[in-house]
Amino acid sequence: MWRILRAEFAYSRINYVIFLVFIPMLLIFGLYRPSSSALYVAWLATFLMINGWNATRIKEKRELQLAQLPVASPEVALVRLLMVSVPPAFILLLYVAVHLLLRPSLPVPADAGIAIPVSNWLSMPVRALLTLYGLVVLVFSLIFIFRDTFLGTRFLKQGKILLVILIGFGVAANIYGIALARRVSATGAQPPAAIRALGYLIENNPSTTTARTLVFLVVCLACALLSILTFTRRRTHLE
Amino acid sequence: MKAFEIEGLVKTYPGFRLGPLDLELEPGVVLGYVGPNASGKTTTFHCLTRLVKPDGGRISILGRNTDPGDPAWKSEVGYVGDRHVFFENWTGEANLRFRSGFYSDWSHQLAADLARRLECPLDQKARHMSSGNRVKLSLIGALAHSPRLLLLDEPTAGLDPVVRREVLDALFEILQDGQRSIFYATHILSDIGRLADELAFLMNGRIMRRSSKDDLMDTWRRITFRKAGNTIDPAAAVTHEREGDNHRIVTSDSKTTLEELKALGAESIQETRMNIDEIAVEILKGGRHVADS
Repeated sequence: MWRILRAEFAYSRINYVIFLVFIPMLLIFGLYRPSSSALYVAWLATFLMINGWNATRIKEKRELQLAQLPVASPEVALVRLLMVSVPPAFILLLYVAVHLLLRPSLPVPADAGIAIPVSNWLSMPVRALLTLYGLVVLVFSLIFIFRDTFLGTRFLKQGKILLVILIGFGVAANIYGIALARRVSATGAQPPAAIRALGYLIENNPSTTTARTLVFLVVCLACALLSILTFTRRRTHLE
Repeated sequence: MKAFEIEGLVKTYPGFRLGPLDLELEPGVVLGYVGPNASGKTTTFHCLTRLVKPDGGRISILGRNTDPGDPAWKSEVGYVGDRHVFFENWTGEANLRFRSGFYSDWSHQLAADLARRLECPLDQKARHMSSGNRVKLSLIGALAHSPRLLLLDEPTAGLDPVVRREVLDALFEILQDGQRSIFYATHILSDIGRLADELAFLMNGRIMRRSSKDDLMDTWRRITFRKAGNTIDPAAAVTHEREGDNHRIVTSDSKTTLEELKALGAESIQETRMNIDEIAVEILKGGRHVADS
């Protein structure tokens, strides 16, 4: 397993070198500017990097390559999961370490976005970080589970169409959201109920209380473990 | 211990069903797996290597069940399929180095020798390699740990005839030592004819026949003879064509057919040996029929 993991990191080493230089810079920049935006850029960059790794892996049929080697399939699934979990874990640990070493008394940023209201636990938005960490693991675990379950079926092709529709929907929702925000701020009108419900969900996101964060992490972990199970039960490793 | 044993293997895709298939390979035997395109050869290999999950049946390789959770059986297997997958931005050498870590019997010396004999440019990145060189790299990867069972599924598919011949010549030179069991699928019998001990013929997902190559060569004949009348129908005849009183048959049991023809009073009997390609074509054409012309 470690051989594959080492190979995967070595193969994408340019990405990781950029990541290792870029992310600490962003985090330190974020510390001296009391804004969480740098942190979220770091998370977005991490997400995109992992997504790029996954796309290369699919393009080069890495699973077919590994399936031919004498490696147990749960180990391959675990490698896949570690590749997704290690970079955000690195950010999490680095942020905590840098924060503790350099600015332990930094006040919680007022515009912490998803972290509102951020706890004072360790005087930093650790819950927000853990939530983001869980989110990355959850998203990729769900992608893995989807691929494992529908690989070799016609549904996967339909799934790709579904993904395009979802992206289109996401873009449209964003445009609508911006227009709505302008109207609400200009007129003071109440947004539609569905938007208010969404706002409620954002305000009460898993980072808002320790219990919610822990439950969310348990859900993410369960999905991650499920992705190991679905990998071992795949119909095919050919695609 | 058998190189592999397949019992009741079934795999179904929309519009195609493989099996139920029973097949086994004795140690040290080279088995050619011959069939037209879409007959199920590749599906058999995919199930055998557990690249796809069979719908039913049991497969064991070198005495071990092909359990994806316990991959020990893969250590003694070399597989080259029709898809050659690598770390594309790595050189051939880096790809082999990665692979070597998974096999305790891997020989870097053997890999280097194979690369030299196959003229494979290991310093080139995989993504820059030609189709022929990718096949060669796959073959080196499958052979360098000296597997006891070699599974070759049309490894030269898609190559131009010159490169195909070049790869096969080098490969057969390497494999002629007889130290391993080989299961080789092809729809071009001349690819494996000279190396195979036995041949299994696959058609529409079912094995039509399995024989030793020597048996086929000894018993199959093209026979011409003269005999008036419509009543001749030799029991072992696979095909029978007639032009007036002149008959031309292909038989799968020349001894029986000749005795039968002599008993019937046929004249001008002449038998001709068939090469293995001709025999394969007759088997895959699907057996016994009589065509008047």
